Amino acid sequence: MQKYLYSFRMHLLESFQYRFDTVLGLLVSNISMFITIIFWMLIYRSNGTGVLNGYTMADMVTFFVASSLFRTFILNGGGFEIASMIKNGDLSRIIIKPHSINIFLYWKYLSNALFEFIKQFTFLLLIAPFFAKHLTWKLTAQSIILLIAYLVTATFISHLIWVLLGMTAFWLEQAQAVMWSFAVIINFLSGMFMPLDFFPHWAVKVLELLPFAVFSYIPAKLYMNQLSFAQGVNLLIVYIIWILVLLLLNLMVWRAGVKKYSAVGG
Amino acid sequence: MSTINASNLSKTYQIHEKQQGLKKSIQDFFSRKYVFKEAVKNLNMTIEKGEIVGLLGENGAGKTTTLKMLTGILYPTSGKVTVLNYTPTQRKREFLKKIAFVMGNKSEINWDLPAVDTFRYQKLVYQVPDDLYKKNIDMLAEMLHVKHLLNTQLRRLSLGERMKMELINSFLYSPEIVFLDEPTIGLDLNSQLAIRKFLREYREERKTTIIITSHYMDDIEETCDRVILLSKGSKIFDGALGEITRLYSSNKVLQLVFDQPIHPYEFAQYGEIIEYKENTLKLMIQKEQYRSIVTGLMNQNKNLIDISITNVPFKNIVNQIMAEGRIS
Amino acid sequence: MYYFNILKEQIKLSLMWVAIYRANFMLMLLQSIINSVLGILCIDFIYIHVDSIAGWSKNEMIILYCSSMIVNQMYRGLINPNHLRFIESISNGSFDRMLVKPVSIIFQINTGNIDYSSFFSLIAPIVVLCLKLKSLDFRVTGLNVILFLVFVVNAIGLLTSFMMLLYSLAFKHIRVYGLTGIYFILMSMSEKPKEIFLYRELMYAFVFLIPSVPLANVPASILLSKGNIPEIIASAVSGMLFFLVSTAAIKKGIRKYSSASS
Repeated sequence: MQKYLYSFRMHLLESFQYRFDTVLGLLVSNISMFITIIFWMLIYRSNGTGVLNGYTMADMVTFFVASSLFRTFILNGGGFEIASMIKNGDLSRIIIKPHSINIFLYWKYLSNALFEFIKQFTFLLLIAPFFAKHLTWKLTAQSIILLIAYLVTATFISHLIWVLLGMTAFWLEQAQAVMWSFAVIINFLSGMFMPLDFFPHWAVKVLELLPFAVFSYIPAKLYMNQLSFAQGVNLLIVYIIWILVLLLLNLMVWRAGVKKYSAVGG
Repeated sequence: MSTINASNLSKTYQIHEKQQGLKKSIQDFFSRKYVFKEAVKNLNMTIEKGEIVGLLGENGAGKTTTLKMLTGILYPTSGKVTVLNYTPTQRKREFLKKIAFVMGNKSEINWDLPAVDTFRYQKLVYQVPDDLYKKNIDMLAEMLHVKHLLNTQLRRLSLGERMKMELINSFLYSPEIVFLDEPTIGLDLNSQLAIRKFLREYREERKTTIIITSHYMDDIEETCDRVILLSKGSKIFDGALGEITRLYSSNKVLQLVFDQPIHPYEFAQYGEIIEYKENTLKLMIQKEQYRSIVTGLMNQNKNLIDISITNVPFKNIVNQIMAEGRIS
Repeated sequence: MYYFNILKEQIKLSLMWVAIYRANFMLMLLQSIINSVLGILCIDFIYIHVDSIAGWSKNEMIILYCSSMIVNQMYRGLINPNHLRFIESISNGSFDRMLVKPVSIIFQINTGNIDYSSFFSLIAPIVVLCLKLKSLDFRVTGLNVILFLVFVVNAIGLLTSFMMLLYSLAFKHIRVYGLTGIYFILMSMSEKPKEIFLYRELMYAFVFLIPSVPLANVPASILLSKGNIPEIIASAVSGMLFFLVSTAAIKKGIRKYSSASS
């Protein structure tokens, strides 16, 4: 606990030091969200019935705002740090204790994420008066618990996926550039630009089963009470299986990567 | 008309002094505090064609700043400078095609490709005719012994080899003046020697004017005709290499070897202690006092087993001049 | 001729880089194409539920999106790597080298490397654009196409000038890496129909201040014969203005760099 409070305080101080970066980061991500929202408002104005695919405009706005909050739980830092360590030949730490580095990175970026969550939450509180009329609030006690479970799951899955991507640095020259570019695809498939149920029926079923949906799409649906408790629990089991699969993949890729790295001689 | 002519050249930097603490940071936001740093003060300097001149000085003495003013990268705060009859800061294309600036530890050459590919690009940038290009590359690669490495990816070369490629890249368009800022920094001894030899030989061939800054006294001693010493932005010596040594030729260095560990302070009375290890000692003494000192030492010290006398090393002379801030 | 030769060599050298790092190239190309396709699919899916958005039919919207992709990928492929190298060079001091070369600084900032993966990924939006053009109700004339190309070039120039203006802040020791976020915002705005700006005044702000409308809306409108003259002229003027302002800003920045602090 001590460690967490300390890390927290460090983040607070750092954020204050790099005020410009902090504010700029918040602005950029929220302006993106804003542009997406006004685009959808335009769509609704052109439509006339006020309901698209079961979403009212208020639903849509809520979806994107809630998404922006839940996306802070996507942990991508670990992957980039691994890629950087591999590129710099900083591997001695990792080779000796691969497991603990993974865990260390997880906790590091989790505390990062909590901090980002608080920043975004604060920001939303500040601008809430401007768009409160569009928001809906349908959380129940049950769904809150499930929501938290999902967010935790999202942290595990995102961390594992990104570390997996980061390990491509064993084989790729500029892994970071490749990683950033695939981030956009992940964003698409996790419903950042459009709720996944706008995809054709068969596609939605597949997308919901992929691990990406857990980043923001499912939690947002839960928040809006559009998934029943039972459905939520069932899907959660699928994602837990994904965690195990990803752990296994991580291990396999890790072994292959280290072998290649040692073969070349550094 | 001199190749390089600087008169009363000065450069003062305006540095924003960042304040500590929250309250001061806020004040800082509204009214900044500036500190002025005089990097170069009233420098007067004339360099003729074909000279190899070394710029020496401690860190922050103004060497790199001077080079940057000579190449047009920095505007002088006051004073005048002309290089090859051009004003460097006007950055005329004809002027830039005649100069080269080799910066020590930053490589310009494309890391992932063989050096030849960068050379070909450089050829186009500097509009080098085909035959001259071929002649230069052959000659340079020969002189630097890297002919067999021209087609190797740059990342596979050693630091010394990369530096040699850097030199070829700068010399291939036959510049009239070459400025080198710490060219041998971080290199192994062999590479350092090779580069010094190369510079001397190249100047013999082509009569190019070469200006070098370095921390390594050997760079200067083995390459330059002339030395300019800078200290805290001002010139404190400007003359031929031999002149410096001659100025201090009234001093000599005594190298003493004992058969057991000694306390150096016992010998401070004889002269300045330059260096000591467990049982060896190097003393700088006045030439005239040589006899009396040696006699004194031999009488007093049964532990003395060897004495030899040499000239004061170049670097010690320079250090002394620096320490005194002037020629004595 | 001089600059042309240098460009030719740059094209060659960048191609050699691709040959060495094939895996990177293939992966980036793949993701660029997937990215474009997903974007187009999203539009497809939205139009299952709507017939038109602010007067843009499905095919028109896709053409708008493709135009935006074309302008952006051209920037990403030809100019962006060099802009990033430029701001890097200010912070690590290697900008000095650029000052000593007998080549125009503006040229050095905007050229050097080509990102072929972005460049080749253009194939996706170009193919889709052509297919959608064929399936439109009316005939697209040669004049439309030529003007479209002219205004795509204008858009690329405008985007380049705008980013160069932003990056010139690097001379003031501002941490400009955050400014690439502005690029992403600009890109996401450019692919949306200009009708998201409710008022005309607002829209003109996004022609002259944060130039998102001329990037894709204007060329696409021309191609679809739904452009209006004032906007088109405004876009061209904006292009020229940004070019002048950005080059002036860079020149001023260089003067500041050369006269100023440590």
